[in-house]
Amino acid sequence: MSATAPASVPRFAGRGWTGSRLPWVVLALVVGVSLWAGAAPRHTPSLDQRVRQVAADVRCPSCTDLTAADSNAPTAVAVRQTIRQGLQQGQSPAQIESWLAGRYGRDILLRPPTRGVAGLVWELPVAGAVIALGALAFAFARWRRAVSGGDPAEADRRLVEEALARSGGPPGDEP
Amino acid sequence: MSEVTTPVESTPRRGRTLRIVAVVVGVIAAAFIAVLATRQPTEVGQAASPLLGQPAPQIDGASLDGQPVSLASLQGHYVLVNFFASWCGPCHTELPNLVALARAHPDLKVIGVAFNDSSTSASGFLASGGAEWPAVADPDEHIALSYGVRAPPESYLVDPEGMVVAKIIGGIDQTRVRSIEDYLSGGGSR
Amino acid sequence: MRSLLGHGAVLLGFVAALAGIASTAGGLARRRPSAVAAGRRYVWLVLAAGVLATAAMEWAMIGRDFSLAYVAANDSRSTPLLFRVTGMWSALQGSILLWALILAAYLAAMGRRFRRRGGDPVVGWAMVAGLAVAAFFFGLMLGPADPFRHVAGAVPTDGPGPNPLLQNNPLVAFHPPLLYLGYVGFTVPFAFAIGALVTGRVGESWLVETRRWTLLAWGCLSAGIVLGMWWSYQVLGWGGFWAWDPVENASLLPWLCATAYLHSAAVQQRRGMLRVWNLSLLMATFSLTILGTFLTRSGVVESVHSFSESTLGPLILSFFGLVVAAGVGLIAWRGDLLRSPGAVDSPGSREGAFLLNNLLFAAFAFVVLLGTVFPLLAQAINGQTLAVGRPYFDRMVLPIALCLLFLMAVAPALPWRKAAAPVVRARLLVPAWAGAATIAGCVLAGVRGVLALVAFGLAAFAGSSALRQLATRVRRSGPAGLLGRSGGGMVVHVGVVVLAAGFAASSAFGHRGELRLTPGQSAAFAGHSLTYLGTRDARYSNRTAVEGLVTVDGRGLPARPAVSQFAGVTEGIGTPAVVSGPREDVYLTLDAVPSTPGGPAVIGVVVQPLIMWMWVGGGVIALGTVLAAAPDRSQRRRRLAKSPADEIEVTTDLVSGDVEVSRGAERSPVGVPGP
Repeated sequence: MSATAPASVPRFAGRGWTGSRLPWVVLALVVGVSLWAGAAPRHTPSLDQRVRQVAADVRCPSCTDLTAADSNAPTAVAVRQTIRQGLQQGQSPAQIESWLAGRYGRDILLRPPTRGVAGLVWELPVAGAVIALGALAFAFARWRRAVSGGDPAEADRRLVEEALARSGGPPGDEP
Repeated sequence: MSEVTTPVESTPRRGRTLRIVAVVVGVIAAAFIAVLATRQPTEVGQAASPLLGQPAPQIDGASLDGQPVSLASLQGHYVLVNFFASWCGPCHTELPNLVALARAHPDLKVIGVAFNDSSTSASGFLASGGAEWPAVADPDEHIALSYGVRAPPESYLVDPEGMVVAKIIGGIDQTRVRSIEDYLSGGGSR
Repeated sequence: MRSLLGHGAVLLGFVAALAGIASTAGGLARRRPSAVAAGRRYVWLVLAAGVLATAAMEWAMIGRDFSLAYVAANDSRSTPLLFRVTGMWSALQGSILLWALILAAYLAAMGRRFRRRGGDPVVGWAMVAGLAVAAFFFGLMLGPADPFRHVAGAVPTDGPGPNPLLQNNPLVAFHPPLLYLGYVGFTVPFAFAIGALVTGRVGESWLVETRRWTLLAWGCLSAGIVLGMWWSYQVLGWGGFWAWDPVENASLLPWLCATAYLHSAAVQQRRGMLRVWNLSLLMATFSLTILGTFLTRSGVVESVHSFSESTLGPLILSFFGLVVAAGVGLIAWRGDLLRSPGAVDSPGSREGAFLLNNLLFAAFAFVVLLGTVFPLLAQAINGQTLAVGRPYFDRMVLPIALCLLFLMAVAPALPWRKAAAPVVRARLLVPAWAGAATIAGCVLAGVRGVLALVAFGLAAFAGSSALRQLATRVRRSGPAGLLGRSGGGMVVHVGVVVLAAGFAASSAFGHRGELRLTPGQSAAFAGHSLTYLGTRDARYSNRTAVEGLVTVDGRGLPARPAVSQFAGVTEGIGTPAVVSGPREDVYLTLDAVPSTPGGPAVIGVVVQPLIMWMWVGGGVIALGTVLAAAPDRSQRRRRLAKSPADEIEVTTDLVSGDVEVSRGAERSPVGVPGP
């Protein structure tokens, strides 16, 4: 750990520590190269994989909350069989899903639609996150204005001294 | 023990903002509670199905005792398509009601579809209750899927034109027998 | 007799709670401390009532008193003793009784802990709030959730027993009570928050005083949730542990809010800021436990865990409305006192990181809540029936979870108030390299998939950041460095990281399939060889089972996935068998029993890598919570004596959440000139 007193360090100054940047650059390289090399191979998915992908969005009809990909209930197996047949006949996943929805109702599909009122379930969290981030940024800006008057490092120092005084004794020598 | 809250010379704006936020939160919460309060418990019984008013998915094949069964050949009659299994408790309860219903209304045809059941236990189950209607095995559950069956017992009433007019989830009890009879007598209860 | 005892006890609890409220509130209104203190004594009556009612119920369950409707519906002659005892909370009415008992115990503990401050208005109002909650739950048992109702008609000679899934695994004895200890425990900080708001003493002392209560509740809830995952993994037979079911979400929601609160409370304790936010989080935590009860007990959402439909819905919903109205109203009313002094200087500081953490947890909770109730909202808006399930939650939660892991890695290295970049970089270098090395190592070991690699890398980053922090603390002050908020908190972080790694591995690299095998036949699946030996019939006291015998990799005793037949249930219930290991679990189910003797059976196989570490992580979280609750006074002294170079960390611990250190002392905020 650095023994530098924090108060004397320029904050995020961007110069004076170029030397110590090197390990971070190397680190970024290592991570980048590893992720590039570790990306899943891009071959076309097998029929089995495609069946599972579609089934992962379909509720297992006789279960309450499992997907047809997760369950081995007879109806889930039947759903996977139907998906397999559909894919083999060249149907698109959307066609297969709408066939299922035409028998069971829209709530057989576990991924809510992205359009219309139902799209709100996707949009609201994103909108909320943007608003919250904005509010946080605004708050930080206001706080920055509020504290720009005093020297915060000085305040830290005061706090330490105050606390030390309260706990009854000066610190010992540095080890 | 007296506690002092630090009075801060802050703009009155902040207090107002807080109150506005509180009102907004309160309104949203009230609307949310109103929505929850007006929801019905997930219903049991006559249920919505996208198939209502649609042509009934076809059933073609050999019955458990080897006779040909076809839904299309029964056009002109009301048909009750009954999904059942020997391992299902409510199926045992509903069987006597179904048998009585079929006996009282010879013009109502019944087709049983065995759900995840072996042919022997399914036909044994039907025979034990004195059922005389044909039943088909559905080994890969394809018929069940095409009707949108979740779990037995479920029944679908098909009208003489071959349209699905009602879906019944759960065992058929006396009230449901009466509502099926309403359809048969031409009224059709909704 | 038992029903009489039970009814009497419930009535006693209800009346005692009301009397306690009347006495305490009366004393508070007339400013008579002695009357306020006297009101506290009623909590002992409430506790006695809870214990008596529970004893009556257990007596009836163990003694198979089928004249009680609840026993007749949830007990049977063949149910073993353990499941007769746990049968008390296997259905609606009994679970309300368990809730009432735990709440009574918490209130009694609260009364005892604050006995010397009986006349204190904050404690008094907290008592009133807690007793009001108790009155509500005892009231439920007087009305629609009466556990001691007589059966209608003749007394049956036998019953169906508990739901088969609730008499399949001994974890039923631990998961629900732990979960309830968590849920109900948040009543205490909630009650104190109400007390602080009503009296207007909204400084930090109520928060400091309830710190350990909050930790206890949080630890129990965390352990309860992880235990619930473990249980459903072992019982439900699909090889997973979390299905984003409404009931699971209902337990996650308060946990998310409470976790956010634990972090932001640290900011308030240290800086006196975020008062409104902390109060809001506590109100949210408590009201979400009530909302969860509503969602799971009213039958408006479909769930594997929900009890059959009941008439409780409107009552619980009204109570939820009351709690929300009280919370929002009080905070708005006290708005002037809640103005927080002080400022967060920089986003790159500990408090800045806590704020981001809170934003992420709030977003997490919002996504979970919205996804859970959205089908109801959509139906109300335009009559649409739709489902929101796993694909939605996975997609929305994944980025939040990754951001949280990243924050977990960085935040412990950030000092309060303001970060000095070189210091932070020096502290983060080793953890960051641990993360990078993990990614590179995984790639070299053949792991593919960017998301999983990022998850593993971030987990290693966060884990080693926490370990580095712990190592620094232990080096300075010995084993005591593991205690207190910072020490215990970092142990919790390690647990969360272990859990997250197990979660990521099992959800990204699990394999599932079905094998159709004749006796003696072997098959290879995902690197394991499975040999099916045949089936055998087994008989247990509460079930008969057809067990398939399967050896995994030719080692050990055969695993025995089974299909069980419980008395009174016609449908066979799958009982999975798990061969656990530190590298991966092999999870077996008997999907189809051979139709002819000696015929082929269908064996379901799920291979889940590293899943065992999720349960280990849960244990570490529980351990860390205990450590965090321990006082770190010795720690403080010793650190002062040695005074390490890092001044900023000294101040962290000087005023850290140790109850004894800062009780009753209101600190003047830093950064803003005091009054």
